[in-house]
Amino acid sequence: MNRLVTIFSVALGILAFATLLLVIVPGAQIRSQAPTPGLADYNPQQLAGRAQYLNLGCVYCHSQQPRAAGQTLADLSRGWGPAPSASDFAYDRPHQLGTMRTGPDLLNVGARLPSRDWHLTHLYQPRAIFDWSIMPAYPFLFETKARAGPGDVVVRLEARFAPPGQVVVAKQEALDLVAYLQSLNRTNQDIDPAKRIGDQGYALTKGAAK
Amino acid sequence: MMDQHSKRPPEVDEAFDPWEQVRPIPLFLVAVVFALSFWGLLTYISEYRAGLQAASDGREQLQDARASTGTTKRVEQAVLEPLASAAASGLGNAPASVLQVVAVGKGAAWSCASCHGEAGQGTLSTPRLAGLQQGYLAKQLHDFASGARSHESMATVARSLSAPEIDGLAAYYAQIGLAAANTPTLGGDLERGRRLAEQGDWKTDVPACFSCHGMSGEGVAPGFPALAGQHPDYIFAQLTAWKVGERGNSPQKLMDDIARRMAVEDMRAVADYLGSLSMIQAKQNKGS
Repeated sequence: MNRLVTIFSVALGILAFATLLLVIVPGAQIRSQAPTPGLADYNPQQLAGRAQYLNLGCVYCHSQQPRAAGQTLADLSRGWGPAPSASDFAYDRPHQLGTMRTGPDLLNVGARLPSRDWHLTHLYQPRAIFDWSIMPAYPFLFETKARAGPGDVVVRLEARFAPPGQVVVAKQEALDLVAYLQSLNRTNQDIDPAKRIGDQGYALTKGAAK
Repeated sequence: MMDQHSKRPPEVDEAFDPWEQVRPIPLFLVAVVFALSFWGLLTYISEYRAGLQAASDGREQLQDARASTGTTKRVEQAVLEPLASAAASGLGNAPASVLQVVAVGKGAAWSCASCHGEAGQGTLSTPRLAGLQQGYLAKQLHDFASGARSHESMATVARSLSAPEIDGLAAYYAQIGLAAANTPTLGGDLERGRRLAEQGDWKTDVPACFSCHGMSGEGVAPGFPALAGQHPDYIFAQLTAWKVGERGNSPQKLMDDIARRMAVEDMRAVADYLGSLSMIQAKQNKGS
């Protein structure tokens, strides 16, 4: 170890180079992206729902990044919608891309499953719809009452899943979370393909396809 | 070792005392490292504080919004396109009991419109229902209820419906007129899709789609659904389901066998082509 200066400065140089290429340059590229035209910022209720999404750890099982058609057709065949570009995440801080797909991708869940009532049933008891589902139930987002009051949103359940003689009513947390899920719709791809920044995998670009 | 070299070994300085440099790392480098880490720390802190600020702003706004409305804010059904219902004809043209199921739901069944849209326009893999053949729609609902066509959400809905309600719903959605204006979304080869739809590919024993589903894909009552104007994502998803045996309710396993013989790229091409055809245009072509 008699060349400490050389070793140290080379190591530092490598680190600086990697930081430049992996952090600073992509960061500058992403920050220069305008939001997708037509994409609205989250409203306060959707933000509250997003906080629920973070708090309940949905990201551990659900990704928000369908893959491009040129990369695989598997995601399209499940109806998860088109692959997003960086502009689609302009209002997501931090993004919820996720790394695991124990459950389905949710980036376009507001487009393919826009029903508020469906989501409430599914959050209260996923097994009420999919008997094979391994998703946890979230009964603590709901309350049971003898009868629904004015303004209460009653969860639609088949009799065998409903508490006997009572109705299940969504709490504000559940309504917020569903509002966030309904806002997840990145199917509008109205953006100049040349300006799209996104991971298209090995997909050929349109120009190169022919 | 020494013998092999004619040179004399270097003189050894008996007085040499091993020593260590006082500063093996130049002060300059130390300063740079400290500056970089300090900069990183400051950046992190400022972004963290901005994040906290934004979060508390959001909470205040939410509280303001709730305080001003005084009651829980209704979740908006934001996804319904206003244009779709404005351009549709035949909306509301059904008995009240059917419209109740369409707009509000019944028992455990969520309303049709909450997923398929106000005018039955659908989106992505949620199919368009407007203008589909009445016999086809009724058969699908019965198949969902019996399990012949497997779809958990639709099974829940169909189980809650009576036979007259199924007939009423099928008749209602069949008579809705709604121009479809889908664009290709799958990046398929449209020219190949057109050839498959019009002529099929006899090398692989795939018949033309139009030979059963109508000369322009407008559907043939009672059993062959319209394809023109259906969403490309839905057509592709269904072809896949037939190919892998997830959907098995086609009479005589007709579509099962066709899909099994189709290449995946062909399914993509034909779904994109059929989806981007307009249904109204298809009907006009048939009339002329």
